[in-house]
Amino acid sequence: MNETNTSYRSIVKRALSGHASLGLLGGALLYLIAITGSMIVVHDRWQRWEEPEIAETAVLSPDAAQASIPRALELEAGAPQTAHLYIRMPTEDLPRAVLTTDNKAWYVDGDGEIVGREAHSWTEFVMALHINLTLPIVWGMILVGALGVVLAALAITGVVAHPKIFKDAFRLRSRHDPQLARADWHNRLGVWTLPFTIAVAMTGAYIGLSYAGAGVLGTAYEKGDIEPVYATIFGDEPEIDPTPAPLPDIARALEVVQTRFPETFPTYIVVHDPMTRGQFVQIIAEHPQRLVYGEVYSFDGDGIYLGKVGIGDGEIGRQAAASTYKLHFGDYGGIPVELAYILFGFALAAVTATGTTLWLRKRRRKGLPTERMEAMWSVVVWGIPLDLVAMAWLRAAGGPDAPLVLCFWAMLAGGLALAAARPALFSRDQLRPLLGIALAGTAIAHSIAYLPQASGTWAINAGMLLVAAIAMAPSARAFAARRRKQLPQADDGNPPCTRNLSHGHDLEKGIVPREAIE
Amino acid sequence: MTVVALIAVTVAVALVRAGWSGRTGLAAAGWALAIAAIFALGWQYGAWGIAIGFVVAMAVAIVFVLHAAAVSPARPRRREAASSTALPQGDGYAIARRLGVFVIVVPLSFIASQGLALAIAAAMKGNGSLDANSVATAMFIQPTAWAAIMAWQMTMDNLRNMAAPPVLVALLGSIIGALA
Repeated sequence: MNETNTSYRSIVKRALSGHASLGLLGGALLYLIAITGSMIVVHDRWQRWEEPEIAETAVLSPDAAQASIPRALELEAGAPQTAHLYIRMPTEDLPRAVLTTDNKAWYVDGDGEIVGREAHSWTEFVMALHINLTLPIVWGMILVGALGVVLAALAITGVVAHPKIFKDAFRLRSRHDPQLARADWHNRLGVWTLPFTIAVAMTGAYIGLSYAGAGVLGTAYEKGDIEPVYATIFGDEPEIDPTPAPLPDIARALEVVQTRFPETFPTYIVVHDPMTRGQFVQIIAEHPQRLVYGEVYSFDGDGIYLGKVGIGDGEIGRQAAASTYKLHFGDYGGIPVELAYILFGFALAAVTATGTTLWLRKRRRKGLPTERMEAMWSVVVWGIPLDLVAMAWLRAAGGPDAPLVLCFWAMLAGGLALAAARPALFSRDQLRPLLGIALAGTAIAHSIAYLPQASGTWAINAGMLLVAAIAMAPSARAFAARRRKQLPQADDGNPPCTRNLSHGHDLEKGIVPREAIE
Repeated sequence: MTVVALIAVTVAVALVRAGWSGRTGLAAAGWALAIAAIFALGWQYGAWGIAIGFVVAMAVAIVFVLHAAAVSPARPRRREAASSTALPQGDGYAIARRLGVFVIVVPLSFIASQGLALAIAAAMKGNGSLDANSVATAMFIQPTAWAAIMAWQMTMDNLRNMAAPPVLVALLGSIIGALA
């Protein structure tokens, strides 16, 4: 029995040590991925927030969709012929239709007219930070996928290293010793969002590492070609026939889907090799109360229905693979699930932040040098969100082609270097309220600048104000406490301004002694 | 049915919370109700139902946790130790050890888990061509196996022991691949 206890304690101790090692290995990047992931749960709403002046439409009719194609292609005269054309249908989160080619993307109104260039570069930049850390797409996704594996291993080792997991299940000593409070936040949030953490870590790992897996399978069975590997899940690409042909009849295709499959909701129209004899139309339509991203219905260039891929009811492997996207991004239950995912995502960010802070404070108590590392960690935790706000302002001032990626990493690297050189300037107590002020200022400025479009953007601004309030709350409390300490109290409990006058006189009746005036 | 099941999930978490302060019967009832409700959601709606059930359960639990934070009594705080601005000193052995851990945990374990995934895909497809089930299984197995290996390695205290899990997994993959 004693040997069993010793062995168990040894495993717990080693798991804690391993958990700390893994956390330090990927902590900063995991934090960045958690913050940006929480934000892009509602990436459609950020897109509206970034370009609020675009005319919106709740519906795009089949005829309007058909009409938009030649108008968009006309704008691309002189550009290389596009091999793919996508029309994103309006949704509740983003009541805008978008037509995308290999060259550009255009907003389309309810009549199929082109109303503007899709230029939400800041939203795309935040998405790119999350999906591939703005690295070249394949290598970036593989790296982020690997970090998903690290996160899953952290969750497992965290549970193994937490022997009082049930005993402390609802204990959160937030006003205790800061180290204890931090440990409680870390453990409670980590435990109660465990299903979410495992789900997003493993789906993210699957999505990111699928490139590596497809490469290995392609090399082993398809002479290095990964297309046939992906085709087993997503369906085949059509045969190419470059002979010129008229525009495809997507209006007819859309009408067929709306008539034959009325329970579905078309989200994308995809045209492969448009205006060639080999052109091929696919309509992706969501099925309610399903995790798969949708069923894919295929049509020829004349809009004749050819069949479906079987994403929704085909082999179980296909359905499972197609379910990873919605499960990862929280796009399967409307606003309530999106809000829950944002909450869980910020909880994951808090778990990551507190984990490293716990390690740093423990190091400090041992008398080891930590001030530079603490300052650099403060830059990671509070500087990354500040940096994202700064990039939003850069986008507003510099337009959609502003160098957001370069400036973000330069600002972050510069902040880390300065923090290492001058750690006293970069504490949490300085950066946290600064973030709150930046968020509040941005939300207020945006609300004023785009008041007529408030119906589409108020939720994002309200969210920013809420986060700002949370960020500034500790500083506000500390300021109030300092003010209370500074104000001296009278012996009779009255404030000093009435102390000398109240003696023997009735101030409430407005009677002031003569000597007080002279 | 969805609403009833989700209410059941909410009540279940509340029971677990109520039972946490010593009434283990309530906690057990809460866990049983949660499992039954999520099972019912899965039966009716498949993976979507299970996902929705878990989301509601986690959200309710977080509300209880935040409430605990809000009502937590204040306690005296320990004085923070002063920190040093000296740069951390690292010796060559510690750095070499860390590099060794990285190599074993990252590339070696990645290769072992990828090998296992490839072997399982081969066993599933047999002499036929790749299909959705074998491809999807391989793509799920690889990160799952890698995460399991990594977690296992993190409970070990030296490099030699850390190398054992990926070697074992690679061996398993080889056996499955040979039999496929």
